[in-house]
Amino acid sequence: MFVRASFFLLLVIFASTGPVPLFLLAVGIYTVLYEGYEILLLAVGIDAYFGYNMGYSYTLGFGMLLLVVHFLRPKLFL
Amino acid sequence: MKKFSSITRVNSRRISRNKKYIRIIAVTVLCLATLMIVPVFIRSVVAMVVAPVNAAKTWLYYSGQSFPQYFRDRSALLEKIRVLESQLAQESGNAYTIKTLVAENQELRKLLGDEGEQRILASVIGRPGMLPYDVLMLDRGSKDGIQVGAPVYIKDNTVIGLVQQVTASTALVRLITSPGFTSTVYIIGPNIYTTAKGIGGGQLRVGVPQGITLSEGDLVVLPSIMSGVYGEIHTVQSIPTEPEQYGFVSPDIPLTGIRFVSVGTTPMQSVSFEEAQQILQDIKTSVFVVPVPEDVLIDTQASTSTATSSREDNMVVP
Repeated sequence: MFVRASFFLLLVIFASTGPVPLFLLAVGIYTVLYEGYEILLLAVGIDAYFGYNMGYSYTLGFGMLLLVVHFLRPKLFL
Repeated sequence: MKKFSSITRVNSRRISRNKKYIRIIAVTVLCLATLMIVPVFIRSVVAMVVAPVNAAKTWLYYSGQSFPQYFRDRSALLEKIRVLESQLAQESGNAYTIKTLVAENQELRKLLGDEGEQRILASVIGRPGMLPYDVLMLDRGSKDGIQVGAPVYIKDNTVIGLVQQVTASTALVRLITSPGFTSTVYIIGPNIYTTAKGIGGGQLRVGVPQGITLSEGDLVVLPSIMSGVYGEIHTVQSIPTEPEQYGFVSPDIPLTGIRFVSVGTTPMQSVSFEEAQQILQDIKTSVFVVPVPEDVLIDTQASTSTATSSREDNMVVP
């Protein structure tokens, strides 16, 4: 639980400081490891704060990522 | 019995997986709904979370305290050694440093608008590539006098965006090149008004019908802003079979290279077409006027008096 919380905190920091590719990579790893809904909260925060009515791409994208990871999980033997 | 149990287990696993799919979709939809209904609330919550991260970042990069300065000085000194070594190798002495400082001084003076309106100088602490959207984050906020809607400049008169959100010590700038950002522009060359759309990555796209001569190097101006030159068309995409041709515009300095910007002290206000025309006239005049020192400039008045005096001085009586 502590590792998961620390990892999520790291994601929050990456989201606000960048670099974006590293942040996206970390989100990918986090989703594969934990498949948690909290990344959707993070996406909502990003879209609201940085996006400012420019779109909902992160919320939609992370939702899709969760679905894809959930679909692939049995095939990845995780 | 064993077979039945196995089938039941597989079915139950499948149902559980389907439930999870539905749950993911439901949570995503719920998040989107929350985002649409209460964006201001979410924004203020995120601002509270982001504030300490930004404070730490600013402290590390810009603070005068000894701990962060130690690391900065170390890297700065290493950089300086490298520069000095290369300078020694070139036997250029301090000329390079002086030149750099003079250039920086001129840049800062221009950014602060040493002629005309007053502006606030700000450092860029986040830029596209570092932040999730096509925005800039500045190290100045409401306590420094930055207001929502104020224009943001690079160099002396190139507008790159508008302040969209301000906290006490940071400001978020929406770039006019952000995807979906639409602005009215005037192109000096074909002399037409048209609509420009941001396409991201510091690029602006202007679309005009075929038949209008659009050339590389045409200056693009934002008539809604005093001294609102954006940049010049660097590429023209014209396919004869298409009804429209496109010009791609970018400022002189790439967004990744921006260290400082200046922010206008007053928010932008909508202008009428007549006001835009007047602003445009001023821009068109000022863009082509270069401040030439008096002793170098030779215009009609100066040349007449110079010529007269020199003729008088050099007049030789035969």
